[in-house]
Amino acid sequence: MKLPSLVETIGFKLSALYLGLFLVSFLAIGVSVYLLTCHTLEQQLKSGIETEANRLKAEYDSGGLAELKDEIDELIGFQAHTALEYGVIDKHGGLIAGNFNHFQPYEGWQTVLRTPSAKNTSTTEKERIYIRVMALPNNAWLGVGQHGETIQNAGNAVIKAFIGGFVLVIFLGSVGGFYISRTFLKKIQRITTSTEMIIAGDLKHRLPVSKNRDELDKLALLLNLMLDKIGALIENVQQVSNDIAHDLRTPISHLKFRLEGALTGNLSVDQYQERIAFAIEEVDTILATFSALLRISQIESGSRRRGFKTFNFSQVVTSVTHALSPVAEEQGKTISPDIPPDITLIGDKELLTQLVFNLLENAITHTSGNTRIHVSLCSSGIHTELIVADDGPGIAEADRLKVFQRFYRLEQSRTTPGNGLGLSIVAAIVDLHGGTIALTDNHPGLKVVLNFGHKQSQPA
Amino acid sequence: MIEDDNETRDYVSAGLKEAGHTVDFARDGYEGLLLAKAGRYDLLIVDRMLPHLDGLTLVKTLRSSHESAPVLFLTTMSGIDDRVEGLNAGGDDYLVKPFAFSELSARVNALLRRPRETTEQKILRIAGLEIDLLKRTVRRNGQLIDLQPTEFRLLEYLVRHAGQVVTRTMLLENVWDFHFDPKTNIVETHISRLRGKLNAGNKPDLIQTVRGAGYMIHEAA
Repeated sequence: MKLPSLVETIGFKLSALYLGLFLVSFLAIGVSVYLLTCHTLEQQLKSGIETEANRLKAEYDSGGLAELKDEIDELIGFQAHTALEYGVIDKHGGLIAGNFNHFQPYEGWQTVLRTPSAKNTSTTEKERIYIRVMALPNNAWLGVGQHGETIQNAGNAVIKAFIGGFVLVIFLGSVGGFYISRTFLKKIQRITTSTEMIIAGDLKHRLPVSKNRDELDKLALLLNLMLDKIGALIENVQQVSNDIAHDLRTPISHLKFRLEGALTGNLSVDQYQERIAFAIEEVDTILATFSALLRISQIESGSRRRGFKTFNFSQVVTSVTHALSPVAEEQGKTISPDIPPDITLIGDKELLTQLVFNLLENAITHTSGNTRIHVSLCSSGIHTELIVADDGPGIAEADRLKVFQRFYRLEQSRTTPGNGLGLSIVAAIVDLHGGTIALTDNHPGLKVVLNFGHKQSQPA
Repeated sequence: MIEDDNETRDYVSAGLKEAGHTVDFARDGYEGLLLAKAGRYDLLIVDRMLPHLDGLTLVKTLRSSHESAPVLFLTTMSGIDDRVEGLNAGGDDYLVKPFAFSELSARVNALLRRPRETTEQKILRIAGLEIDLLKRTVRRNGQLIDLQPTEFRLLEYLVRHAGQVVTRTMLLENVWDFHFDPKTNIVETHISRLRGKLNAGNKPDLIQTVRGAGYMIHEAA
């Protein structure tokens, strides 16, 4: 599989997206800070100018133009270094007092752009001057102004700081994004390599899981679990096909020998009929084995879940017990049922009937005479438990799981009729209903404990 | 008979003709549907898997056009859901391939003799037997015989199909509602118990064992 280039990775795309969003917010903050700074400084500046203008106006009101003129001259002379500038003009703009006539003759705030005077040649930029103009009687206007250099400087400082930050963010974001993408890509690369190995046939191979336990690791762990399960299933399938091949070869070869014998032997009609009847019996056994195998795989496919219904399980267990009691009695065995009425279950009635039947049939066929078999059913409302216990030979602990495998037969039961599929069918039915089955020691004998949870047996 | 497999068709037709039936064939679903609608047949044997039109759809179509002839479905052994589906679609019985001819024959006879409109009888009488279906009691020559519920159902089924061979599988399905093949001989055991009770006191055996096929109660035993 070809890996995506770095730019195409999710890590890169996410980093780029975050970086972009961050830069936009950063820009918004920068603009706000800039505007706020300028505005605040402007207010301060204007407030200073306003105060000065008011003071001079008061001067005029008390002493007239002459007094004002004196004051202004004094101020200019005294405060040569001050940033404030003063001027009084007539209606044609002619300077009456002071050194400053860059304003128009009307009341209010005015801003003017002015080429800086010789003393400020350091900047060629035009400077902005804020002017408060006040109308004086006799068509004269007083103007107090100050250049906004401080505002400009502060604004520039803010812009510079943010540009620096901007560059830094882009740099760190890119490097970080690149690093994250590369780490991510490397991880994906490792997973890809592993997957390719598994595809190539190394089914034992597993995806790498780092100690970080991040999302990818969790995913890898889950995939590994899935691979384990698939591996087990494949092994099971291989096992089953081996078993089928092995288990069916024997009866088919027997059949062949007998038919060959019948063909070559000089037999009477009766003998022929007997041989043929026997051959049919063998074929029936083989067909029954196939039927059972197909039944197991159909049950395992889960398609029967669609037909799950609530039914009276007590009735099923009772009817199976009644059906098999005479068979048990014929062999000197007894079945003692302990089945309370009206315990219901959600599931496939037909299959659960077969399940109870198989368990009870096993208890009858795989035990010797005088065996007592106890069938009990109980329900807590949440769980329904069925126990089939006998005092027969039991099953050795080591064999208790193996008996559920297809075709597995205990040494002692090789001579009894059967195909080793009865308990496999039972296991498949239990599984279909989300129940559990356990084989335990009955001291002496075997105790089969089946448990169905109501919730689990609900149709999926 | 609607069946696309030549061998099954020849096997079944030879046997049915020998038993005195007349058999018509169709090789696919459409042909079968046309034939079944045109002719007045006493019984249809329909394979589930057919070319062009599957057996299930065929029978559903027939039933929706009020064709009431009994239908016996043939299904492959893999389909454990087939029975319920088949019966829901309007089939009357089903048989899993491969089957013994005796099994098919018994089922064909059971379906052919099935009364179309079942008149509810309260008492079944045969060969000195009297079965009261309401009181669930059985008398032989007037003498009350005590039967277990299963034994009663077994006898009832045999008597309802008197004169016909009833197979082991038919009994398992209809008396016990078991749709699987038991290892143990439960049918034989129950029949033997029933026989013991019916024949108590050295009376002649009412239930005849048909070798390789099943059991039968004769109308004139």
